[in-house]
Amino acid sequence: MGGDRDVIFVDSSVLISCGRRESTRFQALAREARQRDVVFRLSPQVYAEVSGDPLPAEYSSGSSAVDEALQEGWMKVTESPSYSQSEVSRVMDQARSFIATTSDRSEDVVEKTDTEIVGLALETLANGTADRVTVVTNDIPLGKAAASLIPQYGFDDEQITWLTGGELADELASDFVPEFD
Amino acid sequence: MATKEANWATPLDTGGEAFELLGNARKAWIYTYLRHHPGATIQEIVETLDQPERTVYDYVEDLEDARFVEQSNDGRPAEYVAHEIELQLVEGDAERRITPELIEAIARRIRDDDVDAYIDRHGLDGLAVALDYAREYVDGSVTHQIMARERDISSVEAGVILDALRPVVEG
Repeated sequence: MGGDRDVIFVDSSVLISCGRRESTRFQALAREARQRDVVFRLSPQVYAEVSGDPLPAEYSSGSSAVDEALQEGWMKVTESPSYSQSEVSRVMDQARSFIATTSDRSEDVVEKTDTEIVGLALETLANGTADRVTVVTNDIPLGKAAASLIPQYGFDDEQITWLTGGELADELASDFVPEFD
Repeated sequence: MATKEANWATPLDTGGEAFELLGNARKAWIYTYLRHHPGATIQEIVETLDQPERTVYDYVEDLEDARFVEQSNDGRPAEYVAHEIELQLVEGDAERRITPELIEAIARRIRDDDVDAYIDRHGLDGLAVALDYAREYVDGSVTHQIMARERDISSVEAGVILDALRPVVEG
């Protein structure tokens, strides 16, 4: 089997959204993976966040859905980006600065979790393991960072795509409390 | 201020009688329903909210007294509309705005367990702060990670409440 030509990274913001509505939203995500014939990739930080964060008992846990997806094989956790690769660590620094500027915050509040996915996206393209990378995140500054920074490393705009969860699959955008509208 | 647990001594939670409806999700729901369905009757509210007619009458009356809603016709059955309220509440250093979005967010606790859990843990004041983050989140000027760090809550909890409040601020 050759390298995946299309690689899709899913961010924690989308998984949290899906995990909360396990029955419908998570199924929509699974269906999308099948239809696209891809295995969604999670960065180690994203996996740690959705599986390891202590969530107060008041909330029902959504983390089991991710573990099930890993077992079913339509999601997998990647290696960390290779920080020793100068382009990768540089794009992550740029992403940190980009997100800080967009958010009008200091760079200290932007941690590795926010930027790792941008590093992985660049690494995947630079290694030639994919022709196109899609980053799925509901965090707009992160999505913008990926879409605007990666072309600076010699890739075409169409090789890097940012989608929100709702753009990936309509069901992920739907509002489940329609009585108020 | 990190609000790990609800701090019920904060402005919105001690706002006095005029803000009593903020603590009553069903009144908040009636206000929100009228805002989205101007001209609705008591009977429509009874059917949608599935509450006893007597209760709905009482709640609508309370909302009228507080000038959150008013009757919009002269005839029967009475039809009601919601006012676009905008109240500023200042207590010490804390300033909170009471807006239709905040009331809708409170109303959602009836149907949305995540909003309910968040209010239980962080109080109405915490919800108002989360709503401000949700506006920024939808505008694209904040990530769920940033909210988590600034509010000292887990990033999953931040993601959960931002996601739950998104439809409120997207209107």
